Amino acid sequence: MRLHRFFSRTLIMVLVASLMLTLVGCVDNGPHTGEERVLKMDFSGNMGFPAMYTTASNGPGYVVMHYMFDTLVWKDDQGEVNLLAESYSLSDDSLVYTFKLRDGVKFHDGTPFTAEDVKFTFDYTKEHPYQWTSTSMVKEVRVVDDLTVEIELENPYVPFITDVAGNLPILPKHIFENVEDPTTYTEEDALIGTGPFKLESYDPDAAVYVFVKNPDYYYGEVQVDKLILASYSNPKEALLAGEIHAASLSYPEAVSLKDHEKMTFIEGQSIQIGRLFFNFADPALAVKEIRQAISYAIDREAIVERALDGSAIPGTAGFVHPDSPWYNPDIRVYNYDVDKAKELMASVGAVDTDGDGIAEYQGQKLSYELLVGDKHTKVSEMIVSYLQDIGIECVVKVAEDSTVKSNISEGKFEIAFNRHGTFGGDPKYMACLATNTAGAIKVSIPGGKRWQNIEFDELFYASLQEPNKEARQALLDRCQEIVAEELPTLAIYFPVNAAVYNHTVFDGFYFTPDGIGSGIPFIYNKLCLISGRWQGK
Amino acid sequence: MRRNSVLRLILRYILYLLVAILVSFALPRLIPGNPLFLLAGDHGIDVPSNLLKQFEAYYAPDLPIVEQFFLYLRNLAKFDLGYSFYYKTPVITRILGAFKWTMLLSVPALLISTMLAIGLGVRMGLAPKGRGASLLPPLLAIQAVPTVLIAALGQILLGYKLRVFPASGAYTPGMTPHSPGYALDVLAHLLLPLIILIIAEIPSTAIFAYNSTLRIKQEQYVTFAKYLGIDHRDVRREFIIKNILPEMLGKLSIQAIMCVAGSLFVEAVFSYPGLGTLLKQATSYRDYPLMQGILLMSCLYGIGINFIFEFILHRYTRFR
Repeated sequence: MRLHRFFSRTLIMVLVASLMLTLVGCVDNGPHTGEERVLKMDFSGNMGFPAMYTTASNGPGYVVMHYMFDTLVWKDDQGEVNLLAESYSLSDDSLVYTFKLRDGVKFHDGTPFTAEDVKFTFDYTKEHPYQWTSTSMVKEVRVVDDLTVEIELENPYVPFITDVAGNLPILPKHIFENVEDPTTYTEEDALIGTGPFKLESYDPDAAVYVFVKNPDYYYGEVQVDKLILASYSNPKEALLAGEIHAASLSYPEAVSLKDHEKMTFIEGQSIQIGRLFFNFADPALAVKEIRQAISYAIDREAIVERALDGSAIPGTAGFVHPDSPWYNPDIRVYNYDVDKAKELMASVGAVDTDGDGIAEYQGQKLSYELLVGDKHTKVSEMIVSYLQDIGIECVVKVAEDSTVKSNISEGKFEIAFNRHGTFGGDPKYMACLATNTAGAIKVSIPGGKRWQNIEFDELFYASLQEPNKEARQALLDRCQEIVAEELPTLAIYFPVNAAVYNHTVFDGFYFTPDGIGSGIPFIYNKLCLISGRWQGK
Repeated sequence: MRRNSVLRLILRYILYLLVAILVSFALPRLIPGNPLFLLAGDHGIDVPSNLLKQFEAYYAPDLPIVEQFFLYLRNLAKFDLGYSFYYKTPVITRILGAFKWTMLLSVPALLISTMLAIGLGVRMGLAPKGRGASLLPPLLAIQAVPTVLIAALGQILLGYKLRVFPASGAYTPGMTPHSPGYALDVLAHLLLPLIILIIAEIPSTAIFAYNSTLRIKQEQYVTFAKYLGIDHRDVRREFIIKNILPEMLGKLSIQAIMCVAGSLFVEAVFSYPGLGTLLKQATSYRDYPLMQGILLMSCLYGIGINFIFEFILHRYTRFR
């Protein structure tokens, strides 16, 4: 009896106390959000102090910084727009870009923005390399007058506008000229830019970013007063509960909200790739025919249907996205064909001689470890069974995504599957297949061998310098042909991104063509917050 | 004699400390995957040279391993846990920032759950005719459910569906410590994870208290006290409850360590910004200095708690 009373008494006490507290909490929160237009968006984790050099070196890290800093050119829903630049032109020898800058632009502290700041930023990034874009191709930056700046390159570099001018945030000279080490500089004035928002607060523990609008923004009136980015453990539920108004969700989650009356579902262009990596130190994997056999043996459409619920485009062989204007539709196609795969294997002598179902090549069994990230187990299971059909045995080794990524870069794998971004826009991303890239990381542990093709290297580097569009297309067409024939890597699928937002609060989000900056698949482009409409009360 | 045993206690703890430091030194060096390759990002662009310099200055990967260890000890002596790769701020500030939230969650959870659990367990043990045992199955049932599951269920049900409590975070994003109502907001966000932690921690302590009570109830001196006609309330207070306290103290020291471990899981479910969340992030970004720092700090916390309790017990048993 007493036991019972003790228990129920405590329970009631706890409940009453908690109810009172929440009620008080609610009443207290209410009035603050009435007048102000506060937009809350889900954000994937803590990106660190959001200054140019201290923010995380991943997509979200760039996004959180881009609200405060502007680039010379940028992208809206239609494509390229001039931001800090009013116009630009390129000299006939494709070496000098002349930028006319917008008049009347001010930094958040009121200092006018001039050509000096542009020159300073380029010079500064030579001394302090910026992780998102390299300015090493720039020979000299000259200030012509307050609002004109000339940028001379060492060699023609065709992706300069998308890759550098559309990516490099312009820093205020008057602040950063005194900063010795920007990678550890976290004073408040490290956040002064020309962008549509200023940072009101950043909580490094709770990972909450609060921005307030820049009332003097030159590109247009910012439609929200306050922008809050915070991470939620369950963004879908938080969206339904009204705690946030926009979120990037997994494809199935996003689709499940398609018919919700308050929510708008948007599907983005696919600018990522899920692909197989081969270690060329293995004698069998270094044989072109065996890689081709693998390509024939994998039914990519079935993988997209069954493992990814249709949220991707099946992979093509040329290492340029099929939606890209640079895509070569005439490259070799590998339709699912087990017989053809077996024929190819047999043509180089990779056959099963001892009847255990596993083929041998030069006396070595084709038995591998397939390294995959923990989010891709479904895909890898299907790959394993497809490869088994042609006598290649794979044992899946699941690791955390970042382990997979670093093991691939160190060559510590046999076959690996990984998904990564930066696969949209200018096909300069083909550079990762070229071999004479400068600037190898110092502490590398070479554990493997990469694919090398001299013709590809030459064509690709020529394509970066070819200003004529048709000539460049011809070069890139040939590059894709080589890749499709040689298969240094095998694209399995190109995932499609999806996001959902609450249109009763704010309408007008979009996926930026080729992603924000250099390919970030988010709907959080700052220009949506200028062109969009506030719908809340 | 007494000084000698205290000295031995302290020496033993210095040994523990050394082992903890050794483990925290070794572990990041054993994890596969070079962190600098991750920093390079998808672009294959050079790692910022300053960061590389910091890395080399702190880890000195080229030095012999023994010298690396002494360098590590020297840095520790200066409370220098290095620079976080990811946050680019000193590790110690990030850890203290997160530690404060973990403490806010786990200390009240520990105190409340222990008080409730001891009260419950003792009452169960003292209940006549072994009626207290009827509460064992539900307690065991709760204990069998993983904390993460209780937390996730509580979050969906009370946070998202019924919306009785805020469902995640430590406060409403957008508020600052200066906003009016901040303290209440923090409290409101604390309640759900706190209640879940308390629920998760009650069973083991309560069952422990129940068993202790049952055992002491059957001790001869208790039976004898009853025959002597001592008031049964005094028997309870002086003969039973006081005698289970030393045992409970031992249990409490384990709970004090376990509750931090438990709160890490709960933090992950509720995106609560404590050490658990920080550790999760440090691991996935291969932030070696941060991982090392968290590991070391949790070891220190555990050793510290143990030391305090052992010291209390030491004195307590002497005076008895």
